[in-house]
Amino acid sequence: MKRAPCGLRRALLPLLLVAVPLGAQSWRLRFDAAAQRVAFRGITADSVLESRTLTGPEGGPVSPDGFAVNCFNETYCHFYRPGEIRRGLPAALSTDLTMWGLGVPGLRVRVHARLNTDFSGKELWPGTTPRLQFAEAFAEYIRGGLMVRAGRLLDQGRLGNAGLGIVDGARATLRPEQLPLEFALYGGWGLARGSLLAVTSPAVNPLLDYAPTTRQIVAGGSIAARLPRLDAQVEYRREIDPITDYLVAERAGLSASYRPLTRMSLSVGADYDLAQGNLGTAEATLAYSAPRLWITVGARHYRPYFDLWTVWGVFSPVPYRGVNGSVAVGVVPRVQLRARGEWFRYDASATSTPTVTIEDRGWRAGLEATWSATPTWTVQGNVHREKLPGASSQGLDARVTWQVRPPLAMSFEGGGLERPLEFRFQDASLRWLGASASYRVADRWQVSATADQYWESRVRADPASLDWNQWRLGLRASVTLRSDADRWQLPPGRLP
Amino acid sequence: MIGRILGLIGGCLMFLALTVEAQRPAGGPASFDHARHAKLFVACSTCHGDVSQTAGARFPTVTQCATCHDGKPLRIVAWQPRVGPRPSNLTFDHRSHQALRVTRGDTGVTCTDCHTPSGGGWMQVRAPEAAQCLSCHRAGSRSHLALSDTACATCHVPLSRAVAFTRERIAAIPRPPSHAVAGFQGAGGHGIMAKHTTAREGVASSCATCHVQPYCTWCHVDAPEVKQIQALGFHPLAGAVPRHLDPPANHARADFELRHGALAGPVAQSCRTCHTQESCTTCHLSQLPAAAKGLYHAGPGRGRGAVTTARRPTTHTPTWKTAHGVVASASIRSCSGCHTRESCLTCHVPSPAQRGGYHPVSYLTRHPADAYSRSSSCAECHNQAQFCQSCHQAAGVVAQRTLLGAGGYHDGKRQFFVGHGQAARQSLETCASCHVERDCLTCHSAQKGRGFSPHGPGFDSERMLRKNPQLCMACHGTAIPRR
Repeated sequence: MKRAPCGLRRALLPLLLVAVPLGAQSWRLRFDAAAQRVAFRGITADSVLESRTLTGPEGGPVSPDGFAVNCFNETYCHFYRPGEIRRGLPAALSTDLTMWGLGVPGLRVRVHARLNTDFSGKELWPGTTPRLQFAEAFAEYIRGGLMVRAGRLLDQGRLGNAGLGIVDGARATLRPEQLPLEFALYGGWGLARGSLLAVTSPAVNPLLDYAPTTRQIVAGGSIAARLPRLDAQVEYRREIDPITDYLVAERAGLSASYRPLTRMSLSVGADYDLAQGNLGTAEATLAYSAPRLWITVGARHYRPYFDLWTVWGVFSPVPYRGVNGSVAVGVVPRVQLRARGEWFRYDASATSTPTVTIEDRGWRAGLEATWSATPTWTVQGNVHREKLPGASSQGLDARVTWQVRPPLAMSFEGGGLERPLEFRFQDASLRWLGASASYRVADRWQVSATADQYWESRVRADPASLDWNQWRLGLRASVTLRSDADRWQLPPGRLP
Repeated sequence: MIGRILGLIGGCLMFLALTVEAQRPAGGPASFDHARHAKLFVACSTCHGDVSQTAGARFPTVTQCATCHDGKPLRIVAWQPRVGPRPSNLTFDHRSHQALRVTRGDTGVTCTDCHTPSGGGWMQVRAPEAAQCLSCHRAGSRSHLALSDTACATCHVPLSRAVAFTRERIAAIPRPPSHAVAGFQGAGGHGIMAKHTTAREGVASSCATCHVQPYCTWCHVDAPEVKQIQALGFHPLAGAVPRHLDPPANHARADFELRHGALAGPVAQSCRTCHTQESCTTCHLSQLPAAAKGLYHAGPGRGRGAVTTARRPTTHTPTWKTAHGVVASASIRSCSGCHTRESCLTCHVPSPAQRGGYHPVSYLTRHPADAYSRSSSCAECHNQAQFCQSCHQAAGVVAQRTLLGAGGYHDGKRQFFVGHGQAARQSLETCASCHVERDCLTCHSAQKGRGFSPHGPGFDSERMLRKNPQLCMACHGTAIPRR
């Protein structure tokens, strides 16, 4: 009951956002409401007295009702039963607003907010708490080559959170007129990695482990160059715990895209963890694009990154190095075939033991085909296989898309896969069928619906095998409102 | 009930009849079959009178036809003489031409001289051809459609004044050879031709003969600023003239999307003929480039302009979805040319209420394969604790005891507890989606655990101590070992 007034205030905030643009010369506002019905079935830990265990058909100990148990020199042996089926109804309302022409030339305001909830009341699905989350909320002022932004900022870059550097603070970008360069500096308070929430939020610490008590201070900058054939950016980002003044993170990154020929491009990127002295993730990809032929070859170095809020980094995660490639061919005008693959191998972890052998290399590959039978019918098929350390997967799926008539489009899909695990006796198999439809009610109104049915079984030799069969249903509606300033009927365009 | 059924059937039949009637072509005066009447008439003037006394054509009246077609026995015909303006764009006048020939002593002129093909029989009537006009209106050796601009107005009125010209006849106007010359569609082609005129109208009469203002406006979004276009009139059937515009050759280059900003220049001078600012917004969704300010806004008096279609840049290969990160980091301004920030948020800040667009439908079951050895970094879009741990917690797939292995979850490897180190160092992010630090520090802590060192290859203790000694103290307390 105590939450109601707070919830009311939060619910009213989007309405206030709607009211604000009335004063702007031009604005663009988009609402996107969606809800889905989801279900999943987990496991429940249980135990049994060691004295009550029996010898199972495989020779190992089992509980009296047949569950394989793990006895670890204790009185009790432990095992997992299938858990109850749990259902959720997560829903979200997104508001994306941009306003300009506010009386000050060069001033712009932008907000992207989400109001989340779970109508089932159980809040099972990740991301539904807290109710109100902001991805962006800033004011921007541009004068000449100088751009200043303040508020909650989200700027794409190699470093930072969610692939996007999110800070609550300010950022200044200078673009000298006569130089193809761009300089940027920013500072503020950071958020948890890959999240719109601060590190102090309970939602980013669901298991109640060690949690920071204050938000980190973030500062960084970048230098970017845009030349006719080369785009490049160097970034630096530093995060500090304001209580201890110790580093939370210190990283540098490089991204470059070079186009030596019209149809050829080379992309190179790398980040370096200055705090721990490690090369993080790096990749290089050479791409060739012809009208009916695309080829990429690349190499990749992947190492997970952990902030110094946690001790995970001192466990010395090892990187893997791999090579990858892809090719797509337009065999005939309406048929395209695509193939992709990657092979990789982990660096030596210096932990091997004679009793346990664990895979240290893997590969993934896939073959896809698209047949545009008619302008209104498209058929896609995909076969994939991943043979990886920890978990593998193989399967195939197909999708048929039908543009019934301009405002109405439908698609039907289905497939199956097998997913063996390396560290647990559990081979999952899944079959599914799905359908989706979208209908453009009016120029800027669109509704869509999805329905999927899954049949999943976890294959084990004991009763711990469980199924995860469910219907998953989704509904979505979006509307874009605009001021008269840009309400012209635009020529048809196709976004990539 | 029977009455309702009969009523329904009757209604359907009535609808069908009305539909058929609606699709019947509209009635109009049938063309007169001259050849069929060849044996009845001995002179054109029987029906057409003395055309030398009138400017336009003369036609028989209904009464004249009814002399024979009175229904007994010949059927009554639905002939109606044409009234109103001439259905062509000719300035021809029978009276003046007759008078001119008489003045020159040519008194033997007959109707068949012009209206019957050479060698044709009596009443094999057809419209005169341009070549017949040119036999007197000498214009050198050039063909009709290649005549100079000043020659057009001799015989033709501007299309805007040919108000009775039919759609079919407008559509059948032949294309002059000048229109097929390379470069004709550019400003150096038809643009210059339109300006080369001595006519008072302000536009070449060769243009005005076949074109009216809306035809030009179809391509020219700068029509209000081009006086030659403004000098053209209007015609309700202007769209009947076939229209076709080839994009300039440089637009077909594979890298045109990448280069068009430089080609446009600071004020997009070369673009403003065919493109409005709205053309730019087909791709530039988030913010118009500065050069676009040199273009006109679409609006009244301006045409739609060239329809622009966003093409995938050459960098956007079929695997682009998983590989765009580097290019986006290197040049986010290029991305913002076509993508709004909202399009990034759709995947990078996933909504809990939607079936995701980045991963396939079956991804919930398939995700362990990617999670153990990541094809891309999950943490780019998902917070490990908020997303992975909370969901695993709801499913019961989180560490229930602090001592690793006691729960027996990892039963796929015998003695996994003893040999978990390699799996942990290879897939530490995956471990951390179910385990918390306390689980591991039960053993891997110098103070409270069993003292197993977690540090592996490449661990730089001095650097760590320098950057964040608090992290060292979590396991070592104040007794941090020095190298």
